[in-house]
Amino acid sequence: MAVAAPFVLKRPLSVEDAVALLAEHGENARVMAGGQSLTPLLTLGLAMPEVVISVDRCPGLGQIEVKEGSLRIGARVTTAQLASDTGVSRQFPLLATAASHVGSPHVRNFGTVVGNICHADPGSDLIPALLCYNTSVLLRSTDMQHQVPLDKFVVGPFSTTADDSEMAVGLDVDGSPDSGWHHGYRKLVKRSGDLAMAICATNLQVKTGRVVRACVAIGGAVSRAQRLPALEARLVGSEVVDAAEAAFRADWSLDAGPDLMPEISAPADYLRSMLPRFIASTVGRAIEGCHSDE
Amino acid sequence: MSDPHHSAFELIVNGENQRIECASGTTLLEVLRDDLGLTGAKFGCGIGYCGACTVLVDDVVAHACCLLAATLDGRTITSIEGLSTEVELDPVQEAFLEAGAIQCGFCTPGFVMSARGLLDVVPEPTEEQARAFLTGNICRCTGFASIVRAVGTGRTGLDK
Repeated sequence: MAVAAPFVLKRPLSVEDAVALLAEHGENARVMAGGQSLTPLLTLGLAMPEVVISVDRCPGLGQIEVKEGSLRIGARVTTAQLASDTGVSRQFPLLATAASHVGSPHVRNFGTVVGNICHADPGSDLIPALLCYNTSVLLRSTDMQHQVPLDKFVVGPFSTTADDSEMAVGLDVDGSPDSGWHHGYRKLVKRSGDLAMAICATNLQVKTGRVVRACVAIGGAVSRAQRLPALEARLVGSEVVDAAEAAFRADWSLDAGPDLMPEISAPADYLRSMLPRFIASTVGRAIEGCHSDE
Repeated sequence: MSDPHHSAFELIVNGENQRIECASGTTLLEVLRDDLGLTGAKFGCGIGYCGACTVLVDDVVAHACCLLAATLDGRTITSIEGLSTEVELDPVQEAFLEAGAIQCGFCTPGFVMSARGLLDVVPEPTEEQARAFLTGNICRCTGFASIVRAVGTGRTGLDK
């Protein structure tokens, strides 16, 4: 056992010091927050950095700030923290639900939300849910700070647009201040705790029995999680009772077809047959809640 | 300490302060087993999947194989060795014995620690809660039904 290659561990006491270390070591360094993805990579030899920069002692990164309709998540906020935050559950219920599905309690207690995004696993539980809100990643380097929309940040399997000198210090999530939103989340796994074969997250806004706005995102079966704009357009205007059927009839592959990512246990034929039903059932789960509301 | 690849730090393990010096890539599991001789937590998958290495870190469940020990400087660790005394088992351990929730035994310390972590927060879990919580542990003998039963009685031990 033990990690595959030795490294120098740095535990800076501020974000400024952390990004200074990144500037110094560049591509030879990796940032660690909760370590739930990076430690296995170190053990397996899939990552062999010369320097690991642990942010466990950096202050100011452990907070969730919920304001009316918006949310800021610091880089040390764990998935367990997100899943149990009452403000998040009230204003961003889709995100809270997705957070409660990440891995196991063990993983959620230490793994961070921002780390999950930066790891960019196609099977991430959080990315499809975050894509259903207006989410951007806050990046810091020694000389600048900027925000990148999440769909421009995660560009492929385990691949982001952050450069070697940049550290993700947080996420900004904007919801809609309007009422009438209903969410659905489904995760398809072979065994509980596995990374998902498919994930679907949806937020639907319903007024007087009709879908007026639709956000639908998928992950797992595709090389990067993404929204399905053509499918969303087909849902808008449909009556609530017909929404699941409309999602089934809409062609998800217009949006995500080129990114389909078959594997031995989930070949392309299976994914093409499963996904319309899976997406429709997630939409169905979102509208289940509509009948009791008014 | 001269070797730049090493770290020195302190852990509180089962109530005792421990001064550790090791390679920075050393996991908590390796420190427990190799440095401190606490071999209750097992090395199963090594990638945070099987839960055989489950311990409590500041009272919450953790996969000891997925934490770099040096990043836990000053924190409190409870391993299976810290649950019982020389004369008395923890109620969770009693419940596992009573329910026959042990087959080969390799996963047992991990399951017991996870059950302890759950019952500390949710003293009377439903079966659904117990099953959801135990997603971080795998019993390769597939003795899950009796393990879930043991968790249901673990709070008071045997409901004597």
